[in-house]
Amino acid sequence: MKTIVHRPLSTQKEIVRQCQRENPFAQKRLYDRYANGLFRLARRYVRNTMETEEVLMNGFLKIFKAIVAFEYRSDDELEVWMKRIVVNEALMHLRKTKKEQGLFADTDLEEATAAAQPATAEGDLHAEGIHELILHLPDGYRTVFCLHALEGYTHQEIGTMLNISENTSKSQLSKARAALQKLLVKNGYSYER
Amino acid sequence: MKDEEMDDLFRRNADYLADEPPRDFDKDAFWQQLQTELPKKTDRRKKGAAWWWVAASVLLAGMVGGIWWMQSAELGAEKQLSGKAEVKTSPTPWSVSSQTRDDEEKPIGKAEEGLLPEKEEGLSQKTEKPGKRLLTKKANTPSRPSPLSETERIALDMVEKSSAAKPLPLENEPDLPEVVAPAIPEKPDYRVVHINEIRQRKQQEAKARSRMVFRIGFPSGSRLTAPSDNEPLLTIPMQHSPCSTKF
Repeated sequence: MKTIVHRPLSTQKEIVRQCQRENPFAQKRLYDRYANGLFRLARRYVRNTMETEEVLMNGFLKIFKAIVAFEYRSDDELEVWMKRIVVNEALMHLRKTKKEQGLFADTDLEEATAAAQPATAEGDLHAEGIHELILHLPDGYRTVFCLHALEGYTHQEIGTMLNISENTSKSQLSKARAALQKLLVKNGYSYER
Repeated sequence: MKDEEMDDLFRRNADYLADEPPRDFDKDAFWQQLQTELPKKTDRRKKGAAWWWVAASVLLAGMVGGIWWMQSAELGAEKQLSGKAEVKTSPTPWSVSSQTRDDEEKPIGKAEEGLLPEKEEGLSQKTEKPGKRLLTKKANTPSRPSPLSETERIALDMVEKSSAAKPLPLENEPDLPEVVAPAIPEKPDYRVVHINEIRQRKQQEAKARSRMVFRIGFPSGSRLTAPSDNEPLLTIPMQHSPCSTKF
């Protein structure tokens, strides 16, 4: 009869170590810790909830597979590593789905911001509402904005990841900012200095 | 609103929401789905264990084969060594015995000095072909008067043969290298013997046995005077004790 010894998964390092041994309890702990954040991360790139779940599924499968070779140094490094995997999965998904129409096709800014609706019935813009404003941006704008403004990638890195030039990345970012500003104004948000 | 301010607004908002559960995301249901997609650990372990078993069996077979091969090689080397030792050591008992016989035969040889070179030639032949030794010896010295009786000579001959079967000590062979005669006390040494020699030996043994029996029955004249022969074979105590059943 087999006896399973449960070690306390107190630290993140121990969780990673147990995940490297394919311990299902440790995998669950890691999933519980990062599932929400990674879902939101994937959701910023992929609009559809079903597609987001697909991206997250592939991302977690890659994480649990690649964690065997991962060398733990700090919690932040682990988080960045996992985010990068999920972002890459999301970009791959975007490339696959937007192959026909093109990720960076010209989009009318007025048309893009017209569909934006207030997050709540009262028109209050809270955090969830601001987050959802990003989803109203066209795919190209949104991708470059998220990569640069939220994830901290440089234009050179974005150009490499999306196979575009730096100037294209910069122009897409400026257009994304302009669209977001319009959306914020449209939803009654004014930034006070 | 400046660009950096807008970026900062959305970044802080994303950080704030990072740990908040999304509205359209069922975490537990997603985990159940993810669990089914995860590769089974037991399957991998079974595969790994199977490979370990295969590797262990191959290693074991290799070890057994290696040990068997080494043992067979050792046995072959021992056989070769023993064969060499037999080849080197087998002439020595004959030469030693012939030397002793030469010593015995010297007075006769001195009487007939003309036969000496022939004897030497005969001796050299004897050392080369030990199987013919007895025949030539007997042919050369048929009428030699000996102080021993025939049965004693046969017994002496048997003792010599038995001593010849065993490897002689190295004191008699100072010139031999150490490798030539390895000391293996457990294993018996075998010698190739012609069947005629065995038959002859058996006949001699049979003769010796019959004569020994004859001698036991009728001791020689010198032994008749020995005081032990006059003693009765069975002595019965004269004291009689009616209670004891022992004699």
